[in-house]
Amino acid sequence: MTMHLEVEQAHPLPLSGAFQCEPGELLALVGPSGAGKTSMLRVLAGLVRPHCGRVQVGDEVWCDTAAGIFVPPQQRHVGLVFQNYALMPHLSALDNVGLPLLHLPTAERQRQARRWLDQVRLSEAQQNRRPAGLSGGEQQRVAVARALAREPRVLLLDEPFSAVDQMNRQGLYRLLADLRRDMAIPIVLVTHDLHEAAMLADRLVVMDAGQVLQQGPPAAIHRAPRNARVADLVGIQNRFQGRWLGPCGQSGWGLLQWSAEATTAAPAGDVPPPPRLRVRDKGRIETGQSVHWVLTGDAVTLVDRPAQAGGEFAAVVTEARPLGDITLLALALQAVPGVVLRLTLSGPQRLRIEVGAALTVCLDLGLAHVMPVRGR
Amino acid sequence: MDWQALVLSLQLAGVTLLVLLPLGLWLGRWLAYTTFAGKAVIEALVVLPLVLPPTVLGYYLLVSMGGASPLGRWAAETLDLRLTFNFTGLVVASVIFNVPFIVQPVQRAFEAIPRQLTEAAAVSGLGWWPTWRRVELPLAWPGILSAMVLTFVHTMGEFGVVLMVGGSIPGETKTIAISIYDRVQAFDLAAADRMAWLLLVLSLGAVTMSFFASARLAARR
Amino acid sequence: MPTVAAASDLKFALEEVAAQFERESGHKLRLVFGSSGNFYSQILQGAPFHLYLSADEDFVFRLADAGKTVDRGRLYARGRIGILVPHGSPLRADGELKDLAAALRDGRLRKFAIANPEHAPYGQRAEEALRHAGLWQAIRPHLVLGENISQAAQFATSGSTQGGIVALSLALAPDVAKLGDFALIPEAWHRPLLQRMVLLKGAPPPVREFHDYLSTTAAQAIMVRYGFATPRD
Repeated sequence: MTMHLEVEQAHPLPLSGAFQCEPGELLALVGPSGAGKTSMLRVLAGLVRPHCGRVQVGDEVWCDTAAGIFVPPQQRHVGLVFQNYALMPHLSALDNVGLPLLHLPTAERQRQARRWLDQVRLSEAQQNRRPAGLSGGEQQRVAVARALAREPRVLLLDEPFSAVDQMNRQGLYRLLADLRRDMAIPIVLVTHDLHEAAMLADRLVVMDAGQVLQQGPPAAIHRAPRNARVADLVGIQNRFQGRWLGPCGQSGWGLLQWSAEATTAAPAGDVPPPPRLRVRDKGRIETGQSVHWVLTGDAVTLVDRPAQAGGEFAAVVTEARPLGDITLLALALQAVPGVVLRLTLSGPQRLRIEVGAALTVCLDLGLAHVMPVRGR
Repeated sequence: MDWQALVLSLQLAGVTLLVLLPLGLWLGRWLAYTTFAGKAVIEALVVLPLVLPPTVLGYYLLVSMGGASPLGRWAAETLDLRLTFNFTGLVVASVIFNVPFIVQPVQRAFEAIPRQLTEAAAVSGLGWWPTWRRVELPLAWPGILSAMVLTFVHTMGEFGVVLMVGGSIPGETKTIAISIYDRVQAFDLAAADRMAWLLLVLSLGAVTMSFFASARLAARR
Repeated sequence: MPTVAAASDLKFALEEVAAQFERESGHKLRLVFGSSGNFYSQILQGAPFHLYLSADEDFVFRLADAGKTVDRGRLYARGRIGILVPHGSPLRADGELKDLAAALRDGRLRKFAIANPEHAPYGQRAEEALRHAGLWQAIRPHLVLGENISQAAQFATSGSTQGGIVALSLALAPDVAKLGDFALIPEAWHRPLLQRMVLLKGAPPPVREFHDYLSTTAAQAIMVRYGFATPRD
């Protein structure tokens, strides 16, 4: 049963946007703190009644402000795993998981609760303990078991990785993978950790300041962020300013000037004119308009010969920071003063590169993505 | 030892607690869970008897409920009920005077319950009664117990209001605190001493037990 | 339950009379002692007393005017005041208050107890007597006020004061007499303490009986023993 959410309100919290999640799909809500991700989750759970919005799961309409419908959380079948787990401190793990099962007689309730706890791999001894006697990772698994015991139509997880160490994190990944496979329900996960989101989720919803900015598969967002803000939020480092010069004769391609200055300005002194790049034209941008454009990491490579074809530039290494298995490089391009190109290198080649080294950078301009300034 | 006065005090404390407990639970919980414009005014009114001299309360009760007041006359004529100088009047005064002792600890107890726990209960499908019984009450219980003991002990020791509204009538309004005062005036210091000791031991014992119980309940978490 | 409101100076005397009445008639009474002025206010507010024994007949007349009483009452005794000085005090029990004047001058006196003149008749008379002796202004800063004459007596003997002006009836009670020395103050120095009692409206028959009993020779004898002059004297 597909889950749909639409919200549009200005107060008490500004919240605006819509997305949906298919059964068996894992959707990640990403964005900085305060972006409104948890608020969206709470609207889905029914803990917050939006000023104007709609929540529907399959055939059930859980909230429709226009029609005056609001189903309280008790009657929605949601599983919500809170960021701090929200386990009842005075009840054992078993009794905590038994809370959604109070409609069953005691024996049956305990049996089912044990079953859920076994599924999240909690031992019998642990099941009988109170939350204070369990580690953080174990507590989280109890919280997940409790959410699942509800037999939810939607599973919601609020920042599940934030308080978890690496070892338990792996266990959580496996658990999520199993859930996706075994339960055909939409799973919505809130996180500010982009890498994990990109790794686990089928689709991302990027939020900032209460607004949904863009949604789609992680790779698609990386390749084609809607605007500069989204590019920053998903961690694209090579974002530059430019000016769109219009089609360049070859269908589907156009010319991008690598600088924001107007083309009519005469070059001053020995400052080289900004390079013109041949990039894909998606037909959305007016000629002469200021733009942002991005290059994903894959588009930048280093080559050992002097710059030749279009797309190759002479560069000098200005920063080289070794960090474990990788080295973070910053490069300055002679052709475009003031611009910094960032690159993450791994492998043996990085060991040879030092600050001040002269290199040639090769940019795969077919992967360049152009975004209008102040556009959505 | 004025056993009659002791029994009267115990009765007054018991009846006051019986009346105040549901009221205190409802008001304390409501204040803990809701915010609204003017909440500060309600909270100030709750605290007022703590900072008000008992004589002020006694005065206002006499003037508003006494035989010469409109309310007093109406109650006497229609309900055949007198509101001052009898046990009923003491109960009214005691209930008003003990509001902060029951409401404040209860309010703190409910405030201390993390909001996420009641939300987790809601999301797990629990309606208001199961949430109250299985989540709120067990977690708030030490605070509620403390409120009950405080109210009981405080009522046992009430003096100023009882004196003004009660009139020190033996068997009706002469509580043990008043009896001690009376014995001192009668130069019967031995009796006063015995009763004072009893009250001290009772109060100290009750409060100590209450702290003990709260600590044990908290340790079980 | 029949309830009698009596001025504090009657504490010991009335308890004895009431005990005797109970033995003879079989009726049980509830006695409440306090300041006459307080009882007056409480009765006006509707306090459930049946018989009021005031230390000052003025309160009785005012209650009668307010329609609270059965009649205008009957004089049951005349009270006297005197100076009470606890054992170990630097003061002497001088009924003419000359020693008190000296004590004020030479600093022996720090605190002196009387009943509150605002609402206690014995306190009013104490003030009048002190004014008559020309000591009122000088002694005012040293005064400790009891809420009623019993409390004043308690203060006077507690050791926290050097003495006080108390009712003769209290000073004669064994529990009090053993604590200090007492001297009568001349009756001419203050308005007489005409103690009047009155039945209040709605008084049940046992109280009426007690009211009448108080005028019998037996009751009067007890009162005289506690220093109350009979009203006719």
